[in-house]
Amino acid sequence: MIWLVPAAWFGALAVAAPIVVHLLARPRAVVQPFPTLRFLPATAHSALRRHRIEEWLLLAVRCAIVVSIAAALAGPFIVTRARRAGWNARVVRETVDDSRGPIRVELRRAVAALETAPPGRREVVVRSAFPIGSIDAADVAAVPAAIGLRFERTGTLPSSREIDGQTVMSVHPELVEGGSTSSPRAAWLHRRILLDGVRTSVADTASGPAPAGALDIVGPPAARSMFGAVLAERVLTPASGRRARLVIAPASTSVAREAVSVRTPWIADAIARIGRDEDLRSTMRQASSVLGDALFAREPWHAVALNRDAQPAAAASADASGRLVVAAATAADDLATAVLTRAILNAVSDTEPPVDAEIVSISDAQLRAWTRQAGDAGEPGRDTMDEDDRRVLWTAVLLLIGVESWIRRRGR
Amino acid sequence: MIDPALVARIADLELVARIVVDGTLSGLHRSPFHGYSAEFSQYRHYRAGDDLKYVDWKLAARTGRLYTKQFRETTNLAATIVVDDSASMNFPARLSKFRYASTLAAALAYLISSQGDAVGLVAHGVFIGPRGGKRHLQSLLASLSALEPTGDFLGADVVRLAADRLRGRGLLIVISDLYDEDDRTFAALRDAARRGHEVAILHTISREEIAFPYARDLEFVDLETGRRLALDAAAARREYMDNVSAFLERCRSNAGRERIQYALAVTDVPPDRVLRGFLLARA
Repeated sequence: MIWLVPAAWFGALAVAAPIVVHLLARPRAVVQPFPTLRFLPATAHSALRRHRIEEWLLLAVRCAIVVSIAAALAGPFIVTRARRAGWNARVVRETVDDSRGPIRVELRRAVAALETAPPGRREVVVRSAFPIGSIDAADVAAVPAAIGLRFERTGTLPSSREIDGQTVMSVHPELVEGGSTSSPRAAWLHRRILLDGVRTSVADTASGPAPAGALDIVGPPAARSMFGAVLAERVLTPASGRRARLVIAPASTSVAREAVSVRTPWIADAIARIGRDEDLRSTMRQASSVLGDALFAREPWHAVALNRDAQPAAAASADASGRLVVAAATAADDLATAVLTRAILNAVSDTEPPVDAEIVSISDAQLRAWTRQAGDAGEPGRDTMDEDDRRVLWTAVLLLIGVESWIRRRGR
Repeated sequence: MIDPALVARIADLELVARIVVDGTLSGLHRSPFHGYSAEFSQYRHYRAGDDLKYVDWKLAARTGRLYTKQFRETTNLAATIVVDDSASMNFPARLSKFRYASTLAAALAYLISSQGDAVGLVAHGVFIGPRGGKRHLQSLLASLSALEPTGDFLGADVVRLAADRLRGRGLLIVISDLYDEDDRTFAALRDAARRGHEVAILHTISREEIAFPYARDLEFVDLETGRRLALDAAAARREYMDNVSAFLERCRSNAGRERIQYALAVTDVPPDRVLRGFLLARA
């Protein structure tokens, strides 16, 4: 039994009224003291006694009327087996996508909406390209266990990233236009973003000039989607003065010419960090591209990634302007390029990369792991009921009123 | 005749006793209470009016004169009056059965004491052994005045106590409405009678209990138990009266069977008339 308006039960206090009336108005019996009752026949019930019984009956009925009215106003709802089966047979579904805002915010909004949805099995369908960071295990755990979750991958990864309605990273159009090296800053942070564990947060909202580009990419237009994906997944803080260039052109001699011996400590450190990047190493082992120029196999170049034949697939060095230079043989739209880009960005960052930061979308396996069936429809909330059983109680009230008037008429 | 209402108004029980006894004895020729032995004292000349029963005919034959034998009564009559002081006696309000019973008891005590016999009083929690003398009578009447009708009447216990304390053969007068469980009082009275005591009952009852003058819905409250019973009195009247008649008849027949003197004392009858009838029946 569910009461939709439990506050109406306070109305039941009105039951005091008939009781008070009964106590004040009941006929006082004429009491006759008598030496013994042994000779009095107990069967000769007095009208008074009968009247008293009727009075009590009347009081009971009147109290029942008041209580029934209060109960009817309180909106009873009887949870029957049939009703429960009906609820379980229907699925109340909320669909979430990232068109209106971050998925995790939309997800919370959907869960809140389901709280007030009519009773049924509840499910949220999340539709997104699922860039890493858009939703994580904590967001999934925050969804009540009875609510089912389904994930549908749609759309493409964004080319820019917004936090609190402001673009914090974006792809510079010049990168796409020419793919030339004349545009040193392909992308920049519109704000200084701090990495806070696995999450990103805005640390400083002061506007100002975009920091010097941490990385510029020299490559074909296909690099756009790759670089957009990387930027969408990763928000990081390049250390001031640390800059890098990725050249997606294995045969580029200009790159080779620019390379100088690595004397700057941070570049040496960055080269070592790129070389240690597990993701890069595992990805490159699957790639077949090889840096063909023999220059890349010698000083000042350092092989930072090897392909499956243990040939250099990416090599790093420094250039005359004190910049980390990485040459990669991979195609612009290859996953390996994206992984390399991520590794470079991590390397020029003055903080360690977050553990789960990925440059690709959340994997299907992870989404499958988060997927779950909607549980049985539980006890519905008061605000979600689209019907109630007041009618039964109002009928009872009418019947009781009839009984009450019948008793009164009979007593006269 | 003494108006019972007047009896109710006089607080002094001794005065009431005297009034009742005066009314009772007028016209009675001799004492209804006999001692159990009378020793010969002397002869005296016969005087007109002397009972011929006491003329010594043998002496008359020898001497040719009539002599009347005189006896010296040795008063060894010991009477105990048992007064029912249970709550059921506190009815009706106008002149309660208890007040009426007290009056009868006082009058009897006065009467017995005034003829030199020993009289005692037993009630619930009160035991005054039978003794003679005016001072004892006053003490007894004071105790009687102090009684209040409350609680149950433990008739059987009280009667047994009284019978046990009576030395030799005595007179046991029970003034009660006899409302007790299973006629246990009667059983005790029967035992007392069989032990040689002379037993008498003044069955005190009010007119209301006999005539049941109620005709509307009433809630009757048992004076002893407090139990309540709401009844249509008019509907209950016939059966009630049948029950009461049967009860009175049973009391009377029980008494008769056990040779117990029984008198019905209805509270609206002048007490001296009741007492007179009672004494006449004894004589």
